[in-house]
Amino acid sequence: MSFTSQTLIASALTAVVAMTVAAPAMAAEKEKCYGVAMAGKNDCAAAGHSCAGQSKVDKDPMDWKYVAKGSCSQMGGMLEPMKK
Amino acid sequence: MTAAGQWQQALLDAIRDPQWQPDPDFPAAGLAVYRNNYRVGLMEWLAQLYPICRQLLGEEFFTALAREFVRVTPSRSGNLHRYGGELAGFIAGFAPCAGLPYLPDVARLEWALHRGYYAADAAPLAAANLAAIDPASWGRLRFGFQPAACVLASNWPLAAIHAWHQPDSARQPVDMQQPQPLLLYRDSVGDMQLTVLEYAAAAFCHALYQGSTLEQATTAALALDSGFDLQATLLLLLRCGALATVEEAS
Repeated sequence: MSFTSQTLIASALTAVVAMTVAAPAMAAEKEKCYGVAMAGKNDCAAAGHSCAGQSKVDKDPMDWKYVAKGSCSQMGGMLEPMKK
Repeated sequence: MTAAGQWQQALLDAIRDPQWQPDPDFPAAGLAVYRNNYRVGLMEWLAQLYPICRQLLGEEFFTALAREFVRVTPSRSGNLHRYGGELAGFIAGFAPCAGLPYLPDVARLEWALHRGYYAADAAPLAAANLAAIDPASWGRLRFGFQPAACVLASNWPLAAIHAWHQPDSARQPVDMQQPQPLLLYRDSVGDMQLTVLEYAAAAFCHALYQGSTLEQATTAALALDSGFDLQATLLLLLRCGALATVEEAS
């Protein structure tokens, strides 16, 4: 063990142990029910068409070029022209 | 396998592989309905799972990406929640996405947030657990993280990109030159949280997360920054409950 990390570990852990940091309460203690879906991610809705009795036909695009029209350019994150 | 089982398996295989017609008794039109439902179900799930990637690319591009991904990535679980984790790797090798080199890391972040949200609970490690250990062996300690927690090493401003896409965002331009490695954890309410780690702290946390000993991780961090604040970093990990177990390496 290098002397520097040894010294650092000794001082840092001594301090941490002395502070008796309380670990946060677990989510389970706050009555979060196991299996509850994130807002907007209801399982049934996610698989929507099959259990909601709706259908959506996915057709293969005929002649479509990949052009990003989303938020990447507004955000400043378009780093180079998209390949066509 | 019984005859009925074989028939069901052949049908499932035929649904997943549109090029395959294993049984002349499967009517093409009926099979097409199943194939469409299967594909659309997975594509819609990907759109819910990766809202930031979807916004970055726009609806059309994302749909096309999802279609390509679904075409080469079969669902291996009856649970839709387990589908889609390979999207980051797929994007990295997908030529039309080459102009957005940060996109794989954004997908990695979204998958980690999803898996973390639904991960099992584990009792968080407390400082008292460390107090019981002989100081002579501190350097050899290995820590186990909460199933919900993870460390994401990244050269991209993931926290800023994430914040930009939240509904209440002020949408300030993002500095793409600013790396933001992240500690992800689930808070006491059950929501996932992102904490940006400073350079050396990120190397430390990432090493611990990968199973390095406390000494190895500390040495790695000190090599990057001789002023690395180990105490503050350990306190951060303990306070947010990211750690679950500690053991002495043999």
